[in-house]
Amino acid sequence: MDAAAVRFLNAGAGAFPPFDRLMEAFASDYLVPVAGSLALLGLWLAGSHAERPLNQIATISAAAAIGVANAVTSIFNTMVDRPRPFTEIETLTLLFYKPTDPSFPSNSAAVGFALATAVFLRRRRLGAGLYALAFLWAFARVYGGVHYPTDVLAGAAIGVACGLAVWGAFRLLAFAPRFVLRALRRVYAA
Amino acid sequence: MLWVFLSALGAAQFAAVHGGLWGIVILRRRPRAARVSALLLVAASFVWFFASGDRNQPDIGEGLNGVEQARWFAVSAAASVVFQLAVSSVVNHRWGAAHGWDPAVDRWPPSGLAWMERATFARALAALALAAARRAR
Repeated sequence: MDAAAVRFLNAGAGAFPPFDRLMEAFASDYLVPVAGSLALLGLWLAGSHAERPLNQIATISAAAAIGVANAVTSIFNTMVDRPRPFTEIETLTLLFYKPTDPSFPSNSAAVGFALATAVFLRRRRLGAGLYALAFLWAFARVYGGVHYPTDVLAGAAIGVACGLAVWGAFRLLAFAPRFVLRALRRVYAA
Repeated sequence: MLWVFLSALGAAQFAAVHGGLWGIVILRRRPRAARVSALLLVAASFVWFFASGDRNQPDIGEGLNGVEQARWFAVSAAASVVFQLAVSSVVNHRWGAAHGWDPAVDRWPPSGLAWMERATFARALAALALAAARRAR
């Protein structure tokens, strides 16, 4: 069923080159990570007196969530050595280079959704935008033939779980980000 | 690297206008132009980066792996922020003079980015250095 789903989604690849170029950009290792990082840079500076510290805590928690999601995905990658779809389905139109690491779970989906969840819990509109980017990143990877849908679903679940876990940890250990912010404020960095 | 430098410049300037951190806004006298040019800079740098070559390079070949990406992003974004702080401190030099801190009255200058609503970064650092030197004496 997973193979049928990736075949179905990949069927449009190659039919309309401008859409393929767009999907290639979204699937790349650069567009969403850089856009997400720029959103965090903006979040750090934006907002009123009262909002800015909350925005900065959201930024720190998003960075932490990305790190945790990356680590969790790496652990899963060592346990589940699932081949990439393009190695099993010869008819796929590949819009991406051939990654050599395991397919399950998708690291990009995990990172994208961890970032979006951590931001969404404090800043709804920006978080919703980041969810849209994470979704497009994950979709483009399936459309491009480098992931099965279950890879990105598992990655998204890991990302959301890591975002929630970091949010919970930051609520329990609220002094830690506040300590960091206090130190940064002394040199006008926060 | 240039892509991140330029897009970070745009993102930070847009956010600084949004947050009212006028001391670090390069086009402080024209907030609307600052917002529009910041957004255009971000959009143009993204379009330029993806239109100027094939960006789907293997991350263990010509492309960058995750760690390298994070490192280059941090270096480029930091360079961009330093550039903005330096340029905004120069162009807002006169405006930043009325920053609301009187060394004769207050021992320490205000802390945090919030002071960039009234002072430039260079003035804030100078005030901090002055207060620290005075305390050391």
